Amino acid sequence: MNAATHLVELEHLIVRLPVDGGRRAVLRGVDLTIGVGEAVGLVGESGSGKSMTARTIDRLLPDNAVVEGVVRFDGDDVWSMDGDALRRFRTDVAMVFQDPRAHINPVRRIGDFMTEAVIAHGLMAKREATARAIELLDAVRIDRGPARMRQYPHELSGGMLQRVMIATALMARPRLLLADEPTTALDVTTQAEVMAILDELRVEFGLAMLFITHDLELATAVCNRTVVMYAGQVMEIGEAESVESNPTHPYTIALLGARPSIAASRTRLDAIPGQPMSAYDAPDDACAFESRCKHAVDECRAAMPQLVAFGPRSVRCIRIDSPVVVAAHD
Amino acid sequence: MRARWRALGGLGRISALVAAMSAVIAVIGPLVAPHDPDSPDISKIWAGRESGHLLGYDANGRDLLSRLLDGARTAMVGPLLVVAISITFGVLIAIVAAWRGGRLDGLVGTGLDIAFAFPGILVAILVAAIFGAGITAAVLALSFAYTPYIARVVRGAAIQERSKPYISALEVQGLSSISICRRHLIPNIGGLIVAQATTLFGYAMVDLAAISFIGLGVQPPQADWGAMVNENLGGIVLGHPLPAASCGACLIVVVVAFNVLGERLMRVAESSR
Repeated sequence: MNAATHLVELEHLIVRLPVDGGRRAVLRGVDLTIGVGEAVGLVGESGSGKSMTARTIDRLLPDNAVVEGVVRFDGDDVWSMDGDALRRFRTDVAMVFQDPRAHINPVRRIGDFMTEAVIAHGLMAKREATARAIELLDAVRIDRGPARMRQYPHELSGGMLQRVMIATALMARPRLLLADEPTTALDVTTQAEVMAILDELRVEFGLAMLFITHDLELATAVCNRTVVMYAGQVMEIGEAESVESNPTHPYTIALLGARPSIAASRTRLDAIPGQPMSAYDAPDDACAFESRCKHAVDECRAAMPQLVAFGPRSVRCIRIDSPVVVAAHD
Repeated sequence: MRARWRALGGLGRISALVAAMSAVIAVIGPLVAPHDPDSPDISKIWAGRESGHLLGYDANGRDLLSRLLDGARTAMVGPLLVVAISITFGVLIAIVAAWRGGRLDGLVGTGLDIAFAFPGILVAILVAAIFGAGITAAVLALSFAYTPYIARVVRGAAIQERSKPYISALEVQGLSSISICRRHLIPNIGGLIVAQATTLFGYAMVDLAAISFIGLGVQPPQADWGAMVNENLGGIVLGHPLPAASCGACLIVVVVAFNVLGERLMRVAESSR
């Protein structure tokens, strides 16, 4: 094993997908690290590149995607892996998808779905795999494990199926979990339960996790650090609780202002003005958020701001020191 | 299983029974034939029914019922081989093209379009002209001609299936392409493949009968429904239509049954997607 300080390192990751003959950037230089056993929340609006980041880490992009920059897992370049290294990577990294029903073969039994990969990789014999699957079903609070293993996906509710997916992700004893909005497709009461199970098992197994969500508070609740993305770029990185309590980037501030609050009853939410910007519409020579930012000045349109250290944070904004923006924190 | 049986509809269920029955006859027919289907009796040419000879005699004085039973196997083994070969190669080509996509898929598409230009019967006649008449040549020629049809339909379904999220979920678990295709993709489009195979069986049966009818397929004295229509053609003008007509009727009943069943299976496969 390499003596890497970080389990996952993304270095200036740029991803382009071919659309109508041309190529459109979906990630525009993402730098990110995930430590061993660390949970990192990836927060942003639709189209900000959250899912693309996870898919790039897991090599789940279309064949014709162009990837620049480096993804390293445990010190090794993920996109140049093959053979045994790739197979090891596949068992070290597990993914939990947003919509469990679409991501499980509908005509195979739950037990087959859970055990197929570990048996195929030769990690366990069938009997051992079955025993572990039942154990993990119990861990995700699904009772009557042996009977569930014989059921088909359509016989289980969405929340149960997502718990099956989480249990399956843990089968091969991975070191990194990529969770792409694992509770978005579930109803509210199930969401809380599934999230609690995911968090509990992650801590218990000492897994690193990249948790993708558009809910900054949820990210704060289950993650060590929060990364805010916008238009295919990282806008702010910081310790989870402090990002929520003391956001510095105008986008993070606006994002927090737009959430509904239980404490204060307001008639309208402060929606962020304008449309979310897609990565491929974003300018290369200006701040991507500038058109929707109430603190934008001419300099914001003059050059692309860099991600710079601001205390313990990294923030991509040239106005963080200015009194107006600082005042907005409160 | 029961729900699928019901989904076939009345006509579909009747067709399935007819198809199953014809398959049984193909297996046991030659064994239960009451007389030797190949021994002629010159005194009985075109003779009508009599005790022990339920359908009478054919153009060479052979027992017609025995020849029909014996010919059932020949008439159905040929199409079965055509189906087996076309499905094997067609599905293989389709899955590889759909899985790899890109330039290979484009190349396969073009190749299929070119192969479409050759009608099955013409290829069979050409092959017979080169290698001599016979059932083997006819089967191979038809298999070659039908493979592109299977490949095209299966490729479309496979491309659609491959884009489904559960396939990517299997990929990130590190399962090999071959095992994903073998254990997930192909079984999940299995209904469509079975439906295509059933329809193809009907087409292949007509084509092989036609090839045998014009004398390039099954060779006399071997009993075969297509060849028997030709043998007994003279009876129609001589006032003995039964031998030729009974062979034709057998062909029609079986072919229609397979076609209807194939079409119903296709409908079931599509509705469950």
